Amino acid sequence: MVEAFNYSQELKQYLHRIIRRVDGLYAIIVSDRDGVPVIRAATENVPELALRPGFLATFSTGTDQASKLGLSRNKAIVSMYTSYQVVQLSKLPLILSFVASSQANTGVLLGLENELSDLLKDIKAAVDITVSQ
Amino acid sequence: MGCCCSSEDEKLSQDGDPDERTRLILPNPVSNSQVNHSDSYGSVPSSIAQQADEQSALSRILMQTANNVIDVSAIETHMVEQHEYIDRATQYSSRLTSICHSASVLNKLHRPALLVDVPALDRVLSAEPISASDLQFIRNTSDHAAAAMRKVVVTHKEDLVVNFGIP
Repeated sequence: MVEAFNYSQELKQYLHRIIRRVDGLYAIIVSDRDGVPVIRAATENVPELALRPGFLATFSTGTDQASKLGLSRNKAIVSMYTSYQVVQLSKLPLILSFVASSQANTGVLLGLENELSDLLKDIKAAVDITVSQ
Repeated sequence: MGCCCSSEDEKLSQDGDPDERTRLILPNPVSNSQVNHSDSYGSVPSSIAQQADEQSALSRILMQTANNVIDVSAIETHMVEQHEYIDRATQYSSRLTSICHSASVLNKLHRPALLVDVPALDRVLSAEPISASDLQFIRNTSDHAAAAMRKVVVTHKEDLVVNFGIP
């Protein structure tokens, strides 16, 4: 149990290290299609509304509809706000969300997908088992 | 007669992908089959089955069309209930603990990196430089270290090649 706790903490610390490294990044959230977080790391700068499942789940609807526009499957949606930007990537059945400052480098945020892909594969396997149960 | 036409219709819909210009609903065969239904009551079971097939084909077409239509206002948003949210979050965290034993995940987290990213490089570069005394101290120390390194001498005492266990 202690080991498990440490692991969970370790995973969060890893995400926090990425947050510290990328200038302007406030939160990394791995959630399911309905916005229920699987793992989440956030600083105090992130607006609370951006962490709500209702907000995160809008991506599922958005990506489904955007996939019908005839440009093949939609992979990511970047939303720019006055002070914030939200980058969401489709890793079905997971959603990878980054909440950052509007001044942050969007290309760097999109590039984090590659860095997190191995980790996401493992998390995806865990979630898939949950769904099948 | 009508059955022949309708079977052709079924073939089109069941075989999957007809040509993109193929009409989904052929007007004549359908009307023919409808006439047949009213005319002959003897073939009721087959006509019911046929009707059911048509219905399922139509509903399939309707569903497919509905799936392809972009209508954001008509989309029902599935809000997760509070208890369901908690249940799922707990389930996910327990699942995460189950994958913690696989060494691959931990190895990925501890992957060593020779170069480390420095966030906000402009701030680091525009920071105050170190004081002159500190700089002098560093120079003196490095000079002493270099001098000490130069004085290191290897003294030769034994043969470089030694035979082991050879009588």
